Amino acid sequence: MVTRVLIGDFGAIFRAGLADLLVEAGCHVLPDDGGRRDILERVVASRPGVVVLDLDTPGSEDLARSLSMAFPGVTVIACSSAAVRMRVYPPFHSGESYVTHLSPDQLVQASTGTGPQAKERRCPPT
Amino acid sequence: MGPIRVAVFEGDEIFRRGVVSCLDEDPLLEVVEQALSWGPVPADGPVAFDVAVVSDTLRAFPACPLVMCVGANGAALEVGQGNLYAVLSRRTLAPDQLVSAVRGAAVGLRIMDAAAVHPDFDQRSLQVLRMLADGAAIREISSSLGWSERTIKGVIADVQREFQARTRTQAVVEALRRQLI
Repeated sequence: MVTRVLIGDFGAIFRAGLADLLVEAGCHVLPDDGGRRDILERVVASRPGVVVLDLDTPGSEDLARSLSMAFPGVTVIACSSAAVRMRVYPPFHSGESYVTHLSPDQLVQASTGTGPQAKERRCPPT
Repeated sequence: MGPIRVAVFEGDEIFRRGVVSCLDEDPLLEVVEQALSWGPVPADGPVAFDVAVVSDTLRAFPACPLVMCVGANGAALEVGQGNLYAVLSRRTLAPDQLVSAVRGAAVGLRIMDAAAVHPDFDQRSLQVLRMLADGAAIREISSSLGWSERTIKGVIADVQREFQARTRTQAVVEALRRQLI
């Protein structure tokens, strides 16, 4: 089954890179709506399997945790191009997350659920 | 005349993919080489491309027109220094701007992206400025972006201070004038 990925509001070039990478990995990247709707509306409307958020946007960690709790079956990934790290909320983990290095391989593994479950730092929901 | 041959040297693989996918969309451009960094062998050998898109974190650069995508260090760079033909902000760069800069560099046009010389303007400030320009009230911006009204006011105050603008309207006009939004 093809993984449907919703990419949040990143810079256009970084977003294009994310989309290129995920499409190559066999995912279906949902089209950008140009910021017309907020991420919650888009999740409700498009029912993605994975949501990728920009960790550099203020409040994104709270948003990622909230999405993970509200949509238990969705993998939420908050990644930062500046800090080269990402926080992953796997599906059905009640808001638990782990932080790992942001690399193409790690991102694809987290998105497709194919990676080893190496948790560098497991954080319980707050 | 064939396509403009472009090389992309960028340490962030995801950003590099984005650059390449945007350039590939343009029929006048052909990406002939891409790598994490540029390592000339030999150091003064001829390059097989017309323009290189590079990041400001590289240690060495090819001797051809350069289009540089910069992060927070952009203010230290000036277009016109040597073979630097364009300085673009990584955060705000749009695909069309990138393609235009590469095409321009190939024919000797030098471009300075206004956002690249204002590294203090983060994405949050630009979002708020865009919404103000669209006529949104503080409450609407707060609701839309999910930040408190106090945070939004703080962002606006920072922008006004940076522009030495007395009013929000003047700050928005200044942002438009500098092509930040």
